[in-house]
Amino acid sequence: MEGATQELLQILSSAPPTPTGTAAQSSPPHNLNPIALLHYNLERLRESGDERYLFLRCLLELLSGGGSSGTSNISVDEEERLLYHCIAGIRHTTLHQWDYRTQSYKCCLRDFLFAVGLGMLDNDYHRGNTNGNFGGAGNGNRSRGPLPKSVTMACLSCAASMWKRGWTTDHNNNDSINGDGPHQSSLLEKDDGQSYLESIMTSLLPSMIQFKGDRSMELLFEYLDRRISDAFHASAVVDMPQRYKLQHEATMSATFVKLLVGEFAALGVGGGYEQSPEFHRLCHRIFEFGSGGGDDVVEGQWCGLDAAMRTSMTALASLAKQILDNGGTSPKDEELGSCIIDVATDVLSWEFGASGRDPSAVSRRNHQNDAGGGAGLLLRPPRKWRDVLINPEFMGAMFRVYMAVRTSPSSSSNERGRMAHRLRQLLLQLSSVTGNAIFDDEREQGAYASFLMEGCLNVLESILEDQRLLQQQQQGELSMYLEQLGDEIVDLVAMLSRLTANFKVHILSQLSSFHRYLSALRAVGEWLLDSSLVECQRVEGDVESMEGADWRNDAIAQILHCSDAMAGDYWLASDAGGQEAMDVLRALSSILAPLYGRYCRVRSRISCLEEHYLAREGGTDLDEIREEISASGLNEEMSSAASLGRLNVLASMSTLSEMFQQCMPRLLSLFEGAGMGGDMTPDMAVILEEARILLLFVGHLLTDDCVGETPSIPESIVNACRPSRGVETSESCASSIVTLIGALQSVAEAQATKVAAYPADPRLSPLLAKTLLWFFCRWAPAYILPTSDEYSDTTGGGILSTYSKPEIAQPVISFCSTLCLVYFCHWPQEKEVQDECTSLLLALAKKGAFVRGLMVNSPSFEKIAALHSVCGSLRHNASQQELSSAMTTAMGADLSIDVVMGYHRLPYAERARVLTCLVVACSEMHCEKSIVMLNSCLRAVEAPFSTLVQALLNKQVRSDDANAQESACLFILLYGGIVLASEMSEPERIPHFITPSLPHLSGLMTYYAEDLTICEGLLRLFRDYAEQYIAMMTREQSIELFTASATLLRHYSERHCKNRVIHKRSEVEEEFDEEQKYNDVLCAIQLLIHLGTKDFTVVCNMSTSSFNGVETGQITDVIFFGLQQVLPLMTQGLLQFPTLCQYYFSLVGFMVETYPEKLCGLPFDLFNSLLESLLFGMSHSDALVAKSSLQGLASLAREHLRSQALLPHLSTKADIFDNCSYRLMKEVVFQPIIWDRLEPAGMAFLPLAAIDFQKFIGLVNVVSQQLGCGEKQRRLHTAFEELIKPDMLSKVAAEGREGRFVRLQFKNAFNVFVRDVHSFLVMR
Amino acid sequence: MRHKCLSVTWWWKDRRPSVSGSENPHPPPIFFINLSRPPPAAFDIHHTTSSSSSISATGVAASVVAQPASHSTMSDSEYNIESADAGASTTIPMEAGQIKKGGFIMIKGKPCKVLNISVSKTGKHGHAKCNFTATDIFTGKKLEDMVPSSHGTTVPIVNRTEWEIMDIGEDGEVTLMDEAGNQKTDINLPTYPETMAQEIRDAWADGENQVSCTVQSAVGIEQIVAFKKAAAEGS
Repeated sequence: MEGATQELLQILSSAPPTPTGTAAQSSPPHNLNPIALLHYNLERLRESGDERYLFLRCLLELLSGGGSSGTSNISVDEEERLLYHCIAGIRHTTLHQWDYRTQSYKCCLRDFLFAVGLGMLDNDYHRGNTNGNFGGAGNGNRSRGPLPKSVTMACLSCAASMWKRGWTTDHNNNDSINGDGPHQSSLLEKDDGQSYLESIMTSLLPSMIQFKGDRSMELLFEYLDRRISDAFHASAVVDMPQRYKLQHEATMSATFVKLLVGEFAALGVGGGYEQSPEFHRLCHRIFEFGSGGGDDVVEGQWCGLDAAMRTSMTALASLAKQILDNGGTSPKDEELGSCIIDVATDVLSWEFGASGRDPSAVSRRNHQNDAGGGAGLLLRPPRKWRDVLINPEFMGAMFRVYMAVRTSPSSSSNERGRMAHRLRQLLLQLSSVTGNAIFDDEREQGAYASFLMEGCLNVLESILEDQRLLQQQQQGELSMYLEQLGDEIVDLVAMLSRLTANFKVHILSQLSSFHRYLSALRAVGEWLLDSSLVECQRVEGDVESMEGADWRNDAIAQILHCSDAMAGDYWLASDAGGQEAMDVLRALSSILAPLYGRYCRVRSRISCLEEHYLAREGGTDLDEIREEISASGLNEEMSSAASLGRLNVLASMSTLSEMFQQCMPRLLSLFEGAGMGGDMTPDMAVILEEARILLLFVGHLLTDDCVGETPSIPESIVNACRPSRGVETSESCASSIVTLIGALQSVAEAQATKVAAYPADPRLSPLLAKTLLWFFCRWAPAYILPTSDEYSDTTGGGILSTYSKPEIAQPVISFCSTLCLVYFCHWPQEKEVQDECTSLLLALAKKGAFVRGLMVNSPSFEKIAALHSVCGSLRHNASQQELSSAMTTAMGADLSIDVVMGYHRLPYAERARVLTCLVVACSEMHCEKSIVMLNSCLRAVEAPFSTLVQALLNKQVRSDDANAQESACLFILLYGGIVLASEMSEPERIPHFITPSLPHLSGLMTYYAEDLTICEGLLRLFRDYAEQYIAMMTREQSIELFTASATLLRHYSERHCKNRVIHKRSEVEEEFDEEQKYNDVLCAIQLLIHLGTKDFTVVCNMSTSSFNGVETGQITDVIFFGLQQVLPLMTQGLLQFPTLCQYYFSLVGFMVETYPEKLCGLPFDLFNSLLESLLFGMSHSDALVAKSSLQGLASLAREHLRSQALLPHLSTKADIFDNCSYRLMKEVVFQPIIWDRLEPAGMAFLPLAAIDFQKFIGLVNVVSQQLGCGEKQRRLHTAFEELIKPDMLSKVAAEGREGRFVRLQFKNAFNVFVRDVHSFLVMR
Repeated sequence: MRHKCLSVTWWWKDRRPSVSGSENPHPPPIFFINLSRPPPAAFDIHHTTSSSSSISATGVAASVVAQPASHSTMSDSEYNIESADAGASTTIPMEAGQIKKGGFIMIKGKPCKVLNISVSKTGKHGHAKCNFTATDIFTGKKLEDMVPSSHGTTVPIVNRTEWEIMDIGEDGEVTLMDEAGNQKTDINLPTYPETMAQEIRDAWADGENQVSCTVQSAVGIEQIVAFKKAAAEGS
């Protein structure tokens, strides 16, 4: 035993041995620094199993004080590190070699580490026990203080792991899980080394408690209970060291309970146990239910979780009593108290019912938790905990303890803060308790919520009172006070938010404290807003340097979340609540809603201050990404705030109107100054920002976004303006909306007028223009002729009818069109403004026939159409003469050259979007004017395009002519714009229009395949066309599309897929090329997918007397040709793009499954690429990709079974199927990812096994040999024998009932097989 | 019976790999020429179900690459093909916001290919500016520029022509010939990228192989930028 430390140190510091022969693959890294060398050697020793028990021997030697004897003189720090590494090594080797250790040794080691962790070794030393001298090491004993915390924690953690590892054995002696077979144990009981180590441990620590027998766990918890409770009786102990000792042991005992709960709670994370998931689930289940892993839960059976719960609650009660008796806490009490509260929090956070026997449930649950957001926050404890948790005394005591702790004068603020924080976490957990199991009825829920709410409100009110007092004192003290309060306020508000989400308004409104709760929310909210403003003013708008901004924002967000949850509560929103709900709404409206006004004012002021600061500092470009994140956050916040504002629409509208009235004169005056020159000043920026923020407030308040659909009027706005609600109120509400809209129109008009005159003036803000357009884009479609079916007000009166008459709606539509026209012609380069313009026009055009009619009758809209007809198809570099010439052909509208030149500057993509709007808006068939305008717009595209095509054909123009190239690009975009107008009335007209041009469009690829912009544009055009219209195409149109697509893909592939031209790119170019490659490949794949749709194939396939159809095989050929071209491009790098990857595998999966014989006939290189991509896809994290890949693999294997189609490829590469089978087993079947792809994996596995069964058996032998352990090899062989029956293999490829039956049988068997092999192969 | 437009020979169909895995000697596919059909000079949009509600228009040839034609007949004489109105200039003026990704721009006097355009603004309420990331088309050097969207900038006229290599001298001087038989002798092997000159020499292999190249010219500079080795006979 002597010299173990020296020996270990020697091993750890020596250079790693040079590997010989085949071991070269695990060769050590060269030139290791001392730290890396240490870790490398530690790992090596752990992996080797530490056959000579060096870790334990060294630990024992160091603990006995013999480590510093002899020649190795190590420092205290080194000793600590060495101790820690020894314990970590012991944990690793013991858990990994559990089956090779005797039961007695394991128990002894576990209890020894537990005792050391509790500090009992120090006690023995303190008592001067000399029994620690062993093996002659005693002569080097030195005096030493308590063990470092890192070491004691490592000891406890190791002991907890060993308890978990042995827990299931003690419960049900499940040999298959733990592998503690009787024959093994009987052999190992004779291990003399282990017996010797046991004796040393016992002699070193004679006071160690040994937990043995059937009741070992119960004894453990009894012991822990005793240890913890002893600490609370320590006040009677006069001897201070003894008192501290008791407190320390109690603290470590509580820590141990926490570690133990943590070990058992860990279902999905690796803990280094090298055990199957079944083991961890079983442990979880046994700890929770105490049963032996069966499905039946025996009532009253002892279980670890209940014991931990009892321990924590008993300790909590003692802690509460002590704190309340003493009126505060001492530092020692706080350490113990924090540990006890942590245990209670961890026990409450236990994932109840997670130990289900279905392994796939874990991944499903994780997915749900990820997606479910707040749903995962609620706790559903079992009914047996009811007596403890649903206990008014307990709840009351917790709040009293909290108050005592947060005001305790006897400890430092940091320590107090830590314990108070833990208490708040516990209270937050208690606020999340829900479920029918624990609550009998709503009354009980109300009583429970009441306790928590009142406690929370008491604290909040006390904080508010304190700050009021402090406000009267010095500012410095206040800010320091607030800084300390930040976390507390956020937690308390979060608790209220959790209560609101948990107990809903219906229950909360019945509480006597409900009005107090609303008042407190408002008071806290107002205080937070005011203090934020004060802080912002202090830093003069530099929000980055604001102190406490984060916690204030968090708290405000929680308050808004609360109000949002209440306003959106179903009980309130539906009529289910009756008068009771009306009363609650009134309370919300009168008490909480005024917070909205304060919010708007403060938020607007802060934004202005920030803008002033930015403009003052000026000169730097804004970071796009940061702006986007900030805008997204603001949008979310404003949506929540709007819910608050809608609680009292009239008051909110009057607040906003008032703010707008104050801002408008300054804004108009600013616009008046346009043209006077000068730069943007901070004061100008402030006015613009104020107006923008106000617009956002109004937009969010008055409309619901309804993403993907037409925006709508919020129900609360409709209700507020409903005449039956009281004529006076509703009228004033509706009129305030109308007035505010009118004011906004006048602002927009003022800016647009100035933009027309002075487009470059800095006073005219593109952002403000964009926000105005955004507002009208949301407001106009919602308020003009709203669909009354969507609202509960079936009378259609009030605000629903305000903008529904043509005489009122027409000016609004004309106004919107004029606004867009001005921006098109005068700010063509402001892309964000243009995007909003086209969004507005499209939103209106999609609204329906009524609005389309109004649009066509609008002179401005007519002008836009005329402009498009004149110069929509003219290149940017067209001369003025060309423009003038084009104007002479214009019909109808009165266009000036300036306006035409302005519109002509519009980027091509924007022109295409305008064209989409025009086509949709002019699509009414019964309106002559619409027809003329539509014709004019389409003719403006079609005619010049035909001219270009003719010129190219006749070689009047070279294809590489810059103008021709640019024109081609423009026409592709314009046709793309037409194609996207599928929401028009009678969209069948589009295929009719496009079809004659399709061959010419695809023909452009002949000339311009090299130009990626044109190439991608063409692919996108064809993709969009196929996507939008395949369902409505006639047979002839389908055939034209097919023919044109085939040509397009062929020319595309020639340039981009054959890779024959060597064109050197610079590194910079390569960097940007990947993205471009991604887009065009994606479009090509999507086009192929659309061509493969059944509708298309069926329509193309029909033959009529006049026109022959397309054979299905031809379509398949084209898709296959496309796939062939795409295959070499699909590098692993490109497959990292999720969308591309999904589409690619969707295409591959479809084709391989439908036409496997064609894939088998691919040239070897291509086939190999395809196969590699399938093998890559089968273990992809995306389940859809994996399923497609596995189905593809299965189809290939079945096809080969059926027709030996892959024989030519097998002659080139004989191990194709062996490789597939091997990788399928290693990368999918034996991996935890299998559960979401179980069925397709099985369906791939079966035919692969059936192709050459003898080879497959050989492969299984190879795999099993890699397992090492003989028992595992045997189990794997047995599992395979159970899975694959020889008679089954002969029927794998059979069609009909027989084949289906075999596959079904195999599917079930495969499920059992995977569960079985995973129980011993997947290790964590 | 197949539709005549679809008489496509799918090259891989007859391409069966031999045991030795050698390449298939079949020639590349012969596709139909899709531009053989006359271009649509007029369109007539009918409602697909109702003949009474139809819209129609006569096609008018408008200005695309040519001067605008006043009516729909498209005889050759009506076209007056011009390479824009740039005259003899090697660059043309253009608004910054109109330059597209993949297009060209002059930055610091160098003709560049635009790799990326991002739009930014100074302050929230500022006007849009274009930030160009581009590479010099002859040296590959990365260049960046920032121009307000509505401001003018210049775009080089870039031409690419295909030539066949007739000879490569010891010092890198190249003799080229185009399809019409015109010769070009005023150009050397490229110095950028560094390895391309040697790669062209290797591909050409002292005249053993047929090698064609792409010559790019802009602002008075000409340079070989790409090459391809013609497929060996019989392959």
